[in-house]
Amino acid sequence: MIRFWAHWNSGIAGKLRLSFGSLFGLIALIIAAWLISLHLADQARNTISSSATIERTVLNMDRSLEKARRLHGDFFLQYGRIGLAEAHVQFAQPSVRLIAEAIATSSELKKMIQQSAVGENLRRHHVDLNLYLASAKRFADTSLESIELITRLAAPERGLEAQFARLSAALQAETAENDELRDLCRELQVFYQEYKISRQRPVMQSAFNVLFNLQQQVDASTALTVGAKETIQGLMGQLRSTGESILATDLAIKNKFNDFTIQTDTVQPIAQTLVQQAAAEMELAQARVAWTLHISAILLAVFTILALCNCLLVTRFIARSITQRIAALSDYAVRLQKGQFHSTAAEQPDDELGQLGQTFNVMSSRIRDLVDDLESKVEQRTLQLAESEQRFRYIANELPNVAIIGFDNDRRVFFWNHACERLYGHNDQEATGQNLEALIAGENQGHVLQESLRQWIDEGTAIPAGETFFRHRDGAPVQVFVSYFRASTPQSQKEMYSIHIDLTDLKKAEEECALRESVYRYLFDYTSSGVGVGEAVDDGRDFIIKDLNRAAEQIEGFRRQDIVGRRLSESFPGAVSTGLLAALRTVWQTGEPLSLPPMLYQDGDKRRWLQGQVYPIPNGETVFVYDDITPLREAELERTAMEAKLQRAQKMEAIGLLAGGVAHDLNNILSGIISYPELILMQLDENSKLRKSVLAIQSSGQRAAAVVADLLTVARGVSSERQACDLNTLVHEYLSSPEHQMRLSLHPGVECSAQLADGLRPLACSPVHIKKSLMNLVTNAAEAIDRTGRIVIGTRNEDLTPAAALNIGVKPGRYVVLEVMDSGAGIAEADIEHIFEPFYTKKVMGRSGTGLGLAVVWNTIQDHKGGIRVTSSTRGTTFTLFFTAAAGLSKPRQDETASTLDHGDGETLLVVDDEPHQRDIATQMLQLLGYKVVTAASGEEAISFMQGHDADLVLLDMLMGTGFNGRQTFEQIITLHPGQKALIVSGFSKDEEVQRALRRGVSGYLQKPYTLKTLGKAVREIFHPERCPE
Amino acid sequence: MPKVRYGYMLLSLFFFSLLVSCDKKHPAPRCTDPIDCVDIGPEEPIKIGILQALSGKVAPLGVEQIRGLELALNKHQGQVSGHPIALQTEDTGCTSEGGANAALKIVADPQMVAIFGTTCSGAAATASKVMSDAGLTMISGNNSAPFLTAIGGKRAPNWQPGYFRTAANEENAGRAAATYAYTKLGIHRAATINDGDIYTRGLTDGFAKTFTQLGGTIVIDTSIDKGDTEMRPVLTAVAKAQAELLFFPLFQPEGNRILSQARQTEQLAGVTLMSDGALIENSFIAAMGDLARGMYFVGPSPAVTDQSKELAKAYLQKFKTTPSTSYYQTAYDAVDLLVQAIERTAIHRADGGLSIGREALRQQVYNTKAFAGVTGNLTCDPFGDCASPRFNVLRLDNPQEGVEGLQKNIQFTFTPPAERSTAGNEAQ
Repeated sequence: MIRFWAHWNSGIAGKLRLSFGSLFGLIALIIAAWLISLHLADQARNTISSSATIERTVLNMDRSLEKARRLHGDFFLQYGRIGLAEAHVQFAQPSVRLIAEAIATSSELKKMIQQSAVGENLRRHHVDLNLYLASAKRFADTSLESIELITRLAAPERGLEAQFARLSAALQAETAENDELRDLCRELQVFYQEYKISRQRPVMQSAFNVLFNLQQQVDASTALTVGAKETIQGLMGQLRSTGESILATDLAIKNKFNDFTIQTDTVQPIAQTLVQQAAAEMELAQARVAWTLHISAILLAVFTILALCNCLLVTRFIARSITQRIAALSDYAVRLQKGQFHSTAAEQPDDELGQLGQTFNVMSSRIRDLVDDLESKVEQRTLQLAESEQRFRYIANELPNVAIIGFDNDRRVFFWNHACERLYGHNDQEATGQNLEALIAGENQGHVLQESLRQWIDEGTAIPAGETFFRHRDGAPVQVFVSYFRASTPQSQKEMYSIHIDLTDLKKAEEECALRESVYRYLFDYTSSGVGVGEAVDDGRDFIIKDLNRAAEQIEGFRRQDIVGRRLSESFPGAVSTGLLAALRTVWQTGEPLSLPPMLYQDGDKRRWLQGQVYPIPNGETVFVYDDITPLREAELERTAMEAKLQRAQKMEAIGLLAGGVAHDLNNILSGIISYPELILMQLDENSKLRKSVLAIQSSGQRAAAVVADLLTVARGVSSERQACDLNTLVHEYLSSPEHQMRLSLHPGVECSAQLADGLRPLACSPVHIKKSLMNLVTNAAEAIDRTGRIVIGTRNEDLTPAAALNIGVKPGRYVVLEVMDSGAGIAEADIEHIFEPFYTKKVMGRSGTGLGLAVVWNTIQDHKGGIRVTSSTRGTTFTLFFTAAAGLSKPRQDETASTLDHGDGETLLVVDDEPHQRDIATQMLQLLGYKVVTAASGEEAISFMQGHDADLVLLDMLMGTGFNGRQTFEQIITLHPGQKALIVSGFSKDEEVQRALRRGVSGYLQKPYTLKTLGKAVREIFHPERCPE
Repeated sequence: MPKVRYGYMLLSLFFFSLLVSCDKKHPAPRCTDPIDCVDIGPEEPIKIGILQALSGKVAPLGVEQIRGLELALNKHQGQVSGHPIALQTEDTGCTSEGGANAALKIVADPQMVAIFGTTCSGAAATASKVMSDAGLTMISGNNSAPFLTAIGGKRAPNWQPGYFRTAANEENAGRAAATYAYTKLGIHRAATINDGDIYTRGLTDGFAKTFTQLGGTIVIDTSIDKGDTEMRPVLTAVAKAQAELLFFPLFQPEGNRILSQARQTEQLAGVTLMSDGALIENSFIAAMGDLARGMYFVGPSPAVTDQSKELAKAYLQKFKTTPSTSYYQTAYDAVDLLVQAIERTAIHRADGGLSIGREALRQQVYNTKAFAGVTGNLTCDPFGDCASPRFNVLRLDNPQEGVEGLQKNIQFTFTPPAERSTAGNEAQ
């Protein structure tokens, strides 16, 4: 109800919708009621029709089945009387046909019930109908079977009963001669006839019992022949069997009748139920039709009345709520048209027309207000416009740097702002009314300006905006940017304006800017550091070189114009590997400056050290300021190398001091071990058992002496005496030496060859140490080879450039090179740095080397001011020794190869040594060599001896206890015996003291420990100095 | 606003159509069963047909079957798979034609799921054919004729697919009786009387076969008709044949008449009388009284298990009387087995309904193995025999003790060799 009133009060449209809606609804209801009643009636009529059909069909079906049953019963009753064949025709066959009709009808009925418009009650009976149909079929089967059974039983001639009668007659005939048997046969016949009437099995059983008695009589009979007995027994057996069949058939027929009875009991109620249900359905349908018609009539009447009432209500509503109010509004509109704004329209009720009335009232009120307010608003607006015009005129006048000149078609000025006055010197009063060109044009400019203005004003030829010079009142040129435009007044009159912007300050600023730029450009170009400017491309992956200063040109070796505009990665490929490009990218991305550490830039032949900074500049470009620090860096590297070298030298010095300290004493000790065996061997028989042991002692002593010699070489360096030698000769001497042969015999798989260059430069060297070095290198090479391999000894001349010399650590110049290459396993990179250090070895100490082999090589090279280079890989190692070539050729060095001892001629020799056994050794050896020997235990004792004696030669030990040493002793002796021959013997190396002694006149120097041979040779060389010393 | 109103109208129409569509029955799932499916609606019952002999002298046997059924349904609270059970009971009259017509009434309803019955094997012979043709499953707690399932381990003539029984195949009842008669009683001449029914004929055939094999002679093998009242002729024949034992496995009242008239026949005074389980029934013993004293009966060995004792108590509690035969036990087992088979076969639909495949149900019963029944563990063979046969020969010494006393007076127990193990799949 609330919703209804809400709709009712919502407006005319709502009311109209409600009214017409209800009207149409009622009409729709009338139609729906009519249609529904039609449908229901039609449905009911269909139900009635279907029910009637079903009822009729059921009755027909039931009638057929009932008739069939009756005919079937008649068949049973009549076949005996009228004969089986006739009974078949009259009863059995019609019965079967009727059953078939009933089955067909029941099938049809089933479909009819399922498909027709019958009620649910009747539809539920489809189960019964199934049963009816099944029973009918079963009735048909049973009927046929029962007819077959009866045929089997009663068929003329071949039926069981006929057979029994025939057999019974035959039995009677066979037993006719015997009274007892004949009586039994009659009794059998009586029971059989009784059975035919009663159809009771016990009667037949009595007949069978008679047959049993008959059997016993026949068996007991003596009157009957065997053949007769057999015939009678056969007939009795057949009778018994036929009787059994008759019993079975009768039982089956009885069962069939029972079946019929049950079937009748089953189907009769179904048919009755169906008929009753169909009738009930019909009645129900008829009642439904009547009810439907009744209800629909009432509904139609009610709906029609309601519709009429609704029409009246709608008509009344339209007249009162719409038509009359619209007429009133029309009158009001006419009054408004006549200007009667004070009248009002009806505003109630508050529907669309009420709202229309309200709208009219509002409109009239507003029109009234508008008319009243219009004049005052016009005055106010005019005043506002005047103020606005004044404001803009003031602004135009007071614009500080923009001069505005207004002029008419005759170029007469009518507007001249204050900026014009400042620019051209004329004030407003002076300028107004003057020709424009007269005010601002120069002497030669007036005509041109006048013509341009005329063409623009008259012909519309535009004057392009641009810079130009006009004239100040005082005649000074005024540079301005001028543009022209045209404007139309409200009265459609054309007015021309030109705007002049003073360029004086701007030009000044531009000049200052140019000056500043030239200054910065100068700084850029003439700064000592290289400066490059790059612009990022490809999202910072590369940079375009935008500028390059002169320093950068010098560093890079490019001209600016050749490189600007190119990509950094193309022009400087090394920028990628050095990280310069990445640094530029980082700065470009982050906007933060970045200092670059010293970096080695390598690009083909270019190799230089750079250091600098990268920073961004406001225009988005990136600047790299850098210096070429290559000289500085190389000096620093050289200094580092020198420091390392110094450290090594100091290290070697320390080792030398240590080694030197012990070498003297060791050599003295070794003298006994080396020399005494030699003396002993000379006295031993060739076959002495001691010879081998003594030789072993001598060999050990010699090896120990070699170690001490190496130690001394490492410690104190190589003898300063240099001879001009041919390196190839030294190599050949080594290759043919017993030491080399012995070395090769220890490594049978190693092949050693020489590749010696011809025309080799002479070499100023110590041949002993060169060969020693060669031997050490070959020994190392042989031991580096596992089983089989090659060693190649090469020589050549080589001129070292400064760069190459730097790498090797020698001065540039001419060199003779000795190279030893092997195919061994190579040296580990970590070991190469240490291989020249004393006692640094990967081999087993004492077995194959002294641990001083490469140290000796190193010292030899160092003492010869040469250099050494080691290259090694898994395929082998190469030692390359660089020796400074000598200036000229020297006399070919001759090697002492004589193996015989140098004997004396009885000369007297004074042996001076503080060691008793040294004196003893020297005495025995010299005596063996044919000399006379006198000994002294100290320098003082020798001097004393020489004061009263002469000696052909004095053997002076260099270091002797706390008194005079060898040199001092010699200096004293030569005061006594000027020209006295002397031989300095020392367990130490040929040090400064020895050199001094030699310079004082000592004839020779002999290293301890010495052998008989070396001693003899040294002494003889003093007595016979014509032979070239070694 | 008009648009909103039209929207309401459309929405109303939509819901209306939805309601209309909801009102329709939920479509049943597609049936894949080789025979057919029974689709049972959410609120609909599961229909089971009952075919029993409920009239005439054999009615007590049928009533015992119905009572066994009721006890079994009590166990299941009258429900299968959540659906109530609706029974349609039909009387077979213990005749073949009665069985056929009663079965027609059952199978006429397409919603019928299974049949419990029959009482008499003769009725079962025709009813099982009707049932089998309609695709149903049928189980009996009382049929024992060999012709219905298997004879000698081979398919019997009246075997029908879907037929099962929990009563023992009495093929061996005849063997048991013959063995006892020949070996224990020393009888060498015997007569047999049946009523033409497959049940009684099966028993007399089994007896004759075994008796002959043992060396005895069947002096007469004859029949009577159901309903016969005059038995003297046939008894005279028995007497004339000089039979030492008369084996007459008949139902009431024919069995009663044979007994009473035999007792009146002087020539049969020394003849031993023996019948079967159909007469192991209190009404027979009560009717015959002393006439039945000394008479032998051969019948299945009743179960004596804890479950059977519990069932006997339940029987007494529910029916306020003692059972007249022990066949209510096999009836109980038959219904219990059937209900559980239906529960296992039924497919629950989404709407709460069920779909039961007819062939699936048969196979479910055929696959029964070691089903724990009150008569022992039941295993159904391919011919439909689910019980393990074991037979007792009883002698009625005291009629006052009724069936209970009779069943305690066991003279001989016969357990046939395991023929089932040799029964192949011939029936299938």
